[in-house]
Amino acid sequence: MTKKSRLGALDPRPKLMLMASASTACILANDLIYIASVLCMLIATLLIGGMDVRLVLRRAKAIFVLIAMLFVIQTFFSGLPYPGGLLLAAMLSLRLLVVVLAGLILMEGEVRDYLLALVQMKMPYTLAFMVVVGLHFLPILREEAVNIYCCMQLRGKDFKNMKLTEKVRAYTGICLPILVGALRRADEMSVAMETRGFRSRPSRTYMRQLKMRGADIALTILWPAILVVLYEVECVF
Amino acid sequence: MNTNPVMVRGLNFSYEEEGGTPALCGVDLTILSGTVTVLIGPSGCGKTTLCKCLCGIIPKLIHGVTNGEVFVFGREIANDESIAISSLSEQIGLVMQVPDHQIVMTAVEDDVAFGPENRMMPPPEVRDLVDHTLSEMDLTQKAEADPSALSGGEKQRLAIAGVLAMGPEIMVFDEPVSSLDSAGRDHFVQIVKALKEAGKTIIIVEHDFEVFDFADQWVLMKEGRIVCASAPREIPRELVESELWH
Ligand SMILES: Nc1ncnc2c1ncn2[C@@H]1O[C@H](COP(=O)(O)OP(=O)(O)O)[C@@H](O)[C@H]1O
Ligand SMILES: [Mg+2]
Repeated sequence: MTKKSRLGALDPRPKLMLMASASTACILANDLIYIASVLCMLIATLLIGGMDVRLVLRRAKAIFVLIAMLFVIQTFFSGLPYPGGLLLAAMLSLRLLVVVLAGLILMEGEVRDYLLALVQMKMPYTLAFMVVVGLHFLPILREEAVNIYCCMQLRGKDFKNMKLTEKVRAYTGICLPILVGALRRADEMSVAMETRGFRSRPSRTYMRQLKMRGADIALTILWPAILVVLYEVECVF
Repeated sequence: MNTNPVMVRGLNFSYEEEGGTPALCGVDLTILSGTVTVLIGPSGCGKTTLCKCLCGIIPKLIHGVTNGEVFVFGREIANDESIAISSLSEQIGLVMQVPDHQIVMTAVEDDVAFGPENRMMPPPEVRDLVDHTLSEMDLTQKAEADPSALSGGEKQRLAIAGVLAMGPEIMVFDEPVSSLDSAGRDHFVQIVKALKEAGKTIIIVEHDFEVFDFADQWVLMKEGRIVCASAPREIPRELVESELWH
């Protein structure tokens, strides 16, 4: 396991708060400069939090490319005269970026802590477990996809030089076994949980408990506060 | 009258709705309190199926055609819809043949804590129990690791730890040492002896059954039937030594 970044060591609740407040603010706000400044703050938080920039770029590469494409399409096909289309496109792209980066902050952290966070925020535990088991599944499914992909290549399937129809068929061949496997795994998981007493009592206890420390509390209060202050400042000018 | 930990009467089970060979045919088995029972038989003879029947996974979660009765501490579980597997888990625990099917949490220590937490044990007690069980299974170094990153043997030890921590009266181990090295196997034998000492009722599926010569009962199975069930000394040597079991 790699060493935890500063963000990774934080309580999940301020991160959930950050994600929720930043996304909501940027979706509600209709001002390019406001959204851009929130984005800058987010980037600053990521950097101060010790997030690995290269890792971020690699993880979210596809999404960044998608956002860039959306930007171009919006700019040219919005039907608005210059600079209206450009402004609209920039606003949309920056909003998406804010949501994606906030999501990346959430990814710095462990699944087990999110389970506790959800439960301590009074989510019913069966629901919290469902969310968390789902989150835990994703990397497993991804690994399986890579495995099958490699197997197919080892057996001489050449994904690069393929016609589109062949490609579609090949990818269906990857996705179908994964889907079947996922359903089977979910089944096994529920059997395993029951044999170990899950839901045998009306409630359950938790060995660990999350505690908010100074930095956690500061982040929880600071982010929404700055979002509001920024908004006020924008309004004045 | 009949409060034996486990009693199986005329149990038949087949995975297919119709046709096909049944996985269990007319199984009768009685297991006395505080004893060690070893299930022995060639692969595919129905050992795992029988284990799943004992803790209610069959027929409650895996459907098929079931006939006969299974009693756990005198309570019939195979035909009583009102008994949930999760409540049975307080009396009987199963270490599955495939550890991956049993590990549910995303950190080793959380997985050991899962059972006791479900039974509402207070957190400080869970902590002590988990630390103790981890050190007993030699997993202390891996307490915070992600189970999916463990080796085969470590996963198997984690699966055992998860059930030990729940401490049910009856414990069923389905080939619990298949990926352990010889030290790990010896250690498991010691654990079984200690559990017996503590009055638990143990059922073990194991090919290398000669190490369990201290068991109270060896049960030889073949094609879904019990061929012979008695104390190791009373089983004819030629039957034990037949290549069927090796
Ligand atoms: N989920 C299943 N569906 C259908 N048949 C199964 C299933 N599991 C086991 N069987 C069949 O039931 C028989 C007994 O299997 P099992 O109890 O796993 O044997 P053992 O544990 O002794 O190796 C085998 O013939 C096997 O093919
Ligand atoms: Mg088996």
